[in-house]
Amino acid sequence: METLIIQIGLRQGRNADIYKLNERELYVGRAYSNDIVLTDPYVAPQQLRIYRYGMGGDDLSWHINILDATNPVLVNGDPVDSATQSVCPGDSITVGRTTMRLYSDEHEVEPTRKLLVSSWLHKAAKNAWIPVCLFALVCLTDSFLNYGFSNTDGEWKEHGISTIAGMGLLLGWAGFWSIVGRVLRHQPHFSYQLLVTTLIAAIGLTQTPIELFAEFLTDSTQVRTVIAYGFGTVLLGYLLHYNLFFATNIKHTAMLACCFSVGLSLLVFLFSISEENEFSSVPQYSGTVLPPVVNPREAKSLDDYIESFGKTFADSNEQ
Amino acid sequence: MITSAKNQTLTFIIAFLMLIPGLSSAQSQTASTLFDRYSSGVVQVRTIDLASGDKTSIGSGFSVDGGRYVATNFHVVSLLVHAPETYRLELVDDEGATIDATVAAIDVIHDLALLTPAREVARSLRLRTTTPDQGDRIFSLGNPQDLGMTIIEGNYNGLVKKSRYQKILFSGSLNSGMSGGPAIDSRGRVLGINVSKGGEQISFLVPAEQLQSVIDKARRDNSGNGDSSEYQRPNFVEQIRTALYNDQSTFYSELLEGEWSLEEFGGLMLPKKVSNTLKCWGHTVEDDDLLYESFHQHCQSNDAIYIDNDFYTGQFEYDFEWLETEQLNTFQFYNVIERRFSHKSQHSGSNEEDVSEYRCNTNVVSIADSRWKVSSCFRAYQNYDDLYDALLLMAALDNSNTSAVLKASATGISQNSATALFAKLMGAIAWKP
Repeated sequence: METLIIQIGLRQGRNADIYKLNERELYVGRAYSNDIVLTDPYVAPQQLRIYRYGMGGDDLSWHINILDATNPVLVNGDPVDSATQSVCPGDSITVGRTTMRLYSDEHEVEPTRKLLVSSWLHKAAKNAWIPVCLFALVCLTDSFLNYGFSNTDGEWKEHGISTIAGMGLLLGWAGFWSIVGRVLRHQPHFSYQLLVTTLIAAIGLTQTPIELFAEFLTDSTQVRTVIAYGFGTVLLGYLLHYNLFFATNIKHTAMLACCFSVGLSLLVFLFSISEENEFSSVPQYSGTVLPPVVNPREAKSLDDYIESFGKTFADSNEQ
Repeated sequence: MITSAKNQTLTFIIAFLMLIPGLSSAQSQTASTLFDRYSSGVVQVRTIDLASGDKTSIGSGFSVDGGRYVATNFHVVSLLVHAPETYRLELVDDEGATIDATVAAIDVIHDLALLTPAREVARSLRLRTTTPDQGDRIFSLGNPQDLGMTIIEGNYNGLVKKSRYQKILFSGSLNSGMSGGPAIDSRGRVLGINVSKGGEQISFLVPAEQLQSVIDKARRDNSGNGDSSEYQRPNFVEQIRTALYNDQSTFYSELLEGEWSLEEFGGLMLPKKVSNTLKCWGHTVEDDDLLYESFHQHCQSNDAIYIDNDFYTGQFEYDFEWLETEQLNTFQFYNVIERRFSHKSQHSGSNEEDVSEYRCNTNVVSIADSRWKVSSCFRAYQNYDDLYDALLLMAALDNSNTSAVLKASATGISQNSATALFAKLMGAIAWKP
């Protein structure tokens, strides 16, 4: 263990600065004459000397020598009282607002992460027109579906504004995560971000028809609510997973995205419940009506329907 | 001769012109004479809040049955009827003296109440049970907006024709605070009780016959109580429930027993007018921007039974709409239908204390050999057993570019009546051959 690894910048998902101490000693401080230059204003121009002592093997040990006592130096969170303190791999040294972690060169690194759908994405990265074309296609499809299914007055203006707003939202979302990637990974990956955002949005286009169909088949607004929350949670989870994947080096992006989307959905659900009045004078019923071309339902006989009123009356009396 | 004839004509005209102010004066004299003679029989009815000791609501009333009772509207004293622990009644006579009173009997259907005053009011008014001629002058007394006792002159215009309950159409202008006051003829006989206003110079009176029925009932109930001088509060909740139940039972029995003639309505045959007591209107939805055609027929009863300020009941209405398009595709057209597929809002109570939440039964139902989406919703009255508000909503599902949205609602209806009404309404629907 003749080499000491000094890693500065310990936050997950950010690039850390790594230094190797092969020589017998190195100096840490704010002055440019040091071996490790820290830009932290709470660090002295010449703050620490890290050195090894001994002949090698078991006899070799690492020490720090505190050269300036303006601010305390902490090893594993504890202030060092003496001018010299022995350290070993695994320890952390905090100086001012900067923390350094020490490793040996035998420290195991995590297994190589596999890039998901890497080949396709790399191809897309080379061909930036793919996400752009897909983006345009999805926006146009959304606009066409909106007009074709719900327009009743022949006016394009409202749909045009809605489409432009949707395009702006997708571009804004992808742009935001590109900025995050630029900050955290020095790589914006805008094509990737736009591609995954557009793909998720394309899947999202099916959400409303699925909700409507499910509600119509079951005559239940609760089913629609469950589908809306489920669909929304899964899509947001996947979107965040890929956004984080491209923008950061966080290891457990799927877990993080899942927790965030589930938490957000739960929050929205609880908020909507808290907003509901304890007593509602408005009837709650399934109001979805679908045209015959997509209506597979068998009709109940009128007598059976009238027969079922008894239970509805009983339910209203039980409140 | 000619001069003489001219002089005669002139004399006649002058005499006629001199008569006109005389006529006017005679009319004013009638009103002022009636006011002088009968206003002592009219009182202001105040509902006093026990906590603050001040009046919460005001109305008018008048002495009847030899001074034994004071008649007024149910809605004037409803606060006390619903919350006797919070309010008391006070009558103020024409001299400003106050008299305590209790509620002896009520008739929620006709919005009447009889009060028992602690002491007799100065003058008791007689009821007129014969029908006046249309156009006869009648005079309404009351205390509008707490401004003091007034008399209003107007005309008797018969009974309101499209109404479930008898109401006199009074062409005069009643104001708030006059509710419960008497409308008298030129001989001082009460022919109606002020109850509501319908518009400019359009007011309504409850016929005196209805009041006579309440007085007769109160006498019977009182004679059954023996000589006990202690006031025993009647069970008004049960009385209201019974009155509402019997009223709806009578109305819907007649409605359901009658033959409903089907009339053409777009591509359907529908029972467009199921009762003569309903007012019906029709209109076409006209808007150049719309890419579909639509027309409505709407019928409703104009009678709402007052229970309290937030709770009216006894209404029945329905709305039929036929829609068709040649310009919209089937998805766009059914989007229009979906927007129409909404239950009508109800006028009756929306408080948890009055009604339960709606419970709905929604399904695709086979009616007239085609599929309809039908939603029926019911909510129970909390204080009146087996009375509900009922909503029916239907949309035809089988045609790509034509459809109908039918809505009906009934408030204060029993389970049996609602079930039979909706069954008959849905069963009556047919497609045009």
